Amino acid sequence: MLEQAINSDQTEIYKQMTELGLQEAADMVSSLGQVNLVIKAVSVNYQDHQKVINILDDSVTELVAIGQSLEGDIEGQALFLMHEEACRSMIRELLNERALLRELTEMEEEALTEIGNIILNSCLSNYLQLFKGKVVSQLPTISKWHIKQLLSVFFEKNKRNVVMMVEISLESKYHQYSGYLLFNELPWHHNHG
Amino acid sequence: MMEETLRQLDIVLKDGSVFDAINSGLIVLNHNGEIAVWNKWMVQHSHKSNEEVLGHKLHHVFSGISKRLLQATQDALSRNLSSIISAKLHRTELPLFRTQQDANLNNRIHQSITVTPLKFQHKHWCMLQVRDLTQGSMHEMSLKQTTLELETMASRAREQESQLQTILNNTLDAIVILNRLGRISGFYQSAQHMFGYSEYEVLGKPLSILFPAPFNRRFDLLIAHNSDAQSLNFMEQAKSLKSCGDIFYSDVAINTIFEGEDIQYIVTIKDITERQLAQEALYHEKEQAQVTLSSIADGVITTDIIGQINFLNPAALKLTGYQHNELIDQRLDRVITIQSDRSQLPVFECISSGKQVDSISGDILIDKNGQQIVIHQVASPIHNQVGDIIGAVMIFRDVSKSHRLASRLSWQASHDELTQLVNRREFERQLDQIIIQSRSDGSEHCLCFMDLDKFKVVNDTCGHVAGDELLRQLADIFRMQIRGADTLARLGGDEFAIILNKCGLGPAVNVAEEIRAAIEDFRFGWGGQSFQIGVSIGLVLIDPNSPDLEQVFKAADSACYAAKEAGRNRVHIFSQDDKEISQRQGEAQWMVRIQSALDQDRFELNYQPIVPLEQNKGEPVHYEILLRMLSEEGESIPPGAFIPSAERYQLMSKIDAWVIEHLFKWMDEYWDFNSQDVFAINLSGQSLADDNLLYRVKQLLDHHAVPADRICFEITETSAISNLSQAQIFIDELKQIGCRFALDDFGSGLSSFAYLKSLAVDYLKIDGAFVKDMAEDPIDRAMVESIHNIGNVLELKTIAEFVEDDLILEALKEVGVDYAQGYGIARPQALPTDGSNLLSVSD
Repeated sequence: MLEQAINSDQTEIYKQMTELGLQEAADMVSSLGQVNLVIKAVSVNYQDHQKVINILDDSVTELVAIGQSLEGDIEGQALFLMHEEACRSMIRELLNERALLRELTEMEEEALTEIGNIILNSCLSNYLQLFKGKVVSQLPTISKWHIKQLLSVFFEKNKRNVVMMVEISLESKYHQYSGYLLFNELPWHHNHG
Repeated sequence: MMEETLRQLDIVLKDGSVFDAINSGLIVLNHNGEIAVWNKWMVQHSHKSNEEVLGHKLHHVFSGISKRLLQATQDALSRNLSSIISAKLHRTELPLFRTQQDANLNNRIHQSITVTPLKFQHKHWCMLQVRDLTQGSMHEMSLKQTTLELETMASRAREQESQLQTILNNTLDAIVILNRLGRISGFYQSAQHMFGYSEYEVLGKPLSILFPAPFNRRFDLLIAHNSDAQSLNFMEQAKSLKSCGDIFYSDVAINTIFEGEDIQYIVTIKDITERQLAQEALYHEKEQAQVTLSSIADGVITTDIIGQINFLNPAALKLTGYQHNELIDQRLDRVITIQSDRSQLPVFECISSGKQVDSISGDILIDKNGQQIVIHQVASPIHNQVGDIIGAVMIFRDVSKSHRLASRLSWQASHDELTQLVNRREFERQLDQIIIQSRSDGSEHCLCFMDLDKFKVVNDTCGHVAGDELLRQLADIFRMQIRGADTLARLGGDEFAIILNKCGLGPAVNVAEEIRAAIEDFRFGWGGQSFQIGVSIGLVLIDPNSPDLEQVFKAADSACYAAKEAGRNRVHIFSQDDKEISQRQGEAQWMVRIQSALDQDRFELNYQPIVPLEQNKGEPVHYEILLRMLSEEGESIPPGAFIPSAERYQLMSKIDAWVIEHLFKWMDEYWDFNSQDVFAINLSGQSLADDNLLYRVKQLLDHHAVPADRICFEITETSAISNLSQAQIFIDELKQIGCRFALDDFGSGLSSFAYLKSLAVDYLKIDGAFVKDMAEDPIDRAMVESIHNIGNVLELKTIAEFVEDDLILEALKEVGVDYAQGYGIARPQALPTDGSNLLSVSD
């Protein structure tokens, strides 16, 4: 159970795995678009529900969430979160297109889904090296949520009190975007829970 | 059950028809990454058959597969991680084509690929599903293009809107937008500024709040009546109303603008206050100009550039005698006749030259009735704002009277009014011309200078009227003696002159003699009396060697003077060697010396006692004041040397004034005012005629507080008679304040004793010529007695001059003369300035 006390060694391993995964993801994303992107972990923490709300700032309208479910020996969910405005700016910067439409098109959403998928898969791939069970991740999905709604579902789904929250920064030459990764179940912990 | 299901599923899978039914690409990779399933869609769109691909790895089938796809398949096979490869980021990952033609052109299908792990036969397989998103991609591209175009249009619209806003907010005219109902929906900055309302204060309100009655109702009704939304195009002048209550003039335009079904009104309000004020000012100016033009006495006519009359004032109509409709729109030169020395009328001349033309000479206007009017006309061009000539204005006035006056004045300027002869100025001008002519053509002419003899006798005896009549008659006599080519002039007073044109000296002498004889024979009758007048004539030849005008004139004058000095009634011809003329010239030099002496106070007052004789013992002594002039070297010059010149050049009045002024000063400083002595001052005839001197004497008497009865003025009999009326005034005025008068040199003149009655003198000074020989000459003694007796009769005291010795003194005592003066009594002495007393001489 994630809410069980996680010691500092484990945390440190996850941090390193996360940073490695993010670096791999940045390389992959940069190779796709016309923009060089640097993705870094700003912080890796375990947060409860309220703290996550505070960090994500519920004054902002909506979040875009790219989520992947884990099934099998681990039942959990990984989320890549960004504020909607940041999503639009980033994806259009990566696509080198003018940001005219207020809404993301379907294909832009798909592209954003792939970005989240790359980041999550990179991190999960590193986490899964430590896991000996059978886990399958579903195809990523994209959705828009108000923060509170999203988190109530996220926390409720697996009856979690604490999640691992990674604050990431995605930096292009001219912009810096903030994003978050949320994991409500992780392979290590299950393995050693 | 489950086994059966799985077995059937296995069969189905082996059959592959299920995969072919899927309308998207399906690739299944086995645990080694080899293609296990390649569905029909893939065959169709890759142009690769199953035989070509099955059992091969994907990157062997398609070279150039991206790192992303390889990673995704790897993640699925080794980690069971699903991936999505979006069409947006990869667009045409795999070389798949819709048609062969597309394949030829390498137009790949836009595709998205999902990679999902599969568990098959206990092994990790993965499945790739390829979807054709070409349509979607194109749709998105189209959408974005449209969006871009819309955005560009919107941007342009925003820009235009911004520009429009800028224009609307910065125009000087107020712009107000009304909605369909006539309510204000837009109130731009210019309107805010003009009316003093903020936008907030007027939005939703009717237009009428911006106008006072009756305009407010007018505009509201105008819009209300436009309920059927017709196009409105309205413009009017109105008064507008500011928020502070001020009213101003404005031009108001209301137009409609249609936006689809909706209608709006755009109201433009232009503040025309300045224009209105300018128009009013212009109107006033125009009216003022009209009134001025109507009331001035000068005629004013304006024409256009071809001389067609477009304006006349009443004075012009009056002068020309025409009616307005007879002249307006007519060419000036075709309706009005003006005779002039100019080749064309000033109006046309000024239009062609662009300059003002002043017709100085007297042009003659022929009015409608044929009457000739001398006019002075000035024409000026009229310009428009850019400086082009558009016409001319002619101003003219009737100068007939002034023309006649000018002619008359011109005549008067050159003629003597009394005798109608040429005057001095004109004579000198003509003489100058003659001198120049003589030099140029060698001709000879003569100048006669004529001075009447005894003219003053008539003037003084019979009065000025008689004197004027005499001059007129003499002028007629002169006229009869000359030819038409000669010039006869009255130079002034009793002086005349003649230029004998082209006349040598010999014939000139004859003419002069004839004139002299004619005058000699002439008798002037007036008041029952008959007078004989004479004339002294000086003659000068004018030839190429003659000097200038001044010298010629001097020569003639000198010759005339010489004639006078020689006994009058004669002709004297000027000669350079002439002694009399030399004397005259010497006198001219004295004039300069006397003036200089006056300026430098180089005169000295002397005195000679006039003592009372026996029967007048106790009477105060008289002292005659005598004048000496001092040269620049300080030498004393007797009066006989300078007095004649002083008389000749009209300086006696100044000399007499000097004597009086300096005597009074001396008296003020040195004399005992308690003394009864009397000072006798000589006055010349010129002084008698000088009103300034009379005034000056009174002033000096008052200033120095000299008792008037201590002063006795001596005037010669001759000068008194020559200036009788002035002498009378002079004597009467000073007698009134107490001065005394003595008639000097009495008995030497040829005048009648009757004059004595009209002169209020106190003393008779017997001419010394009779006194000096009376001891030996009984006739002289008889003269002295006679004069003394006349004095007695007239209650005048007698004074004998030139008493040189005791014998004469005794004789005078015997006769009973009252006073004696002479070297035998006392010689003249300078007035003392050392405080010593004057000579006190006893009998």
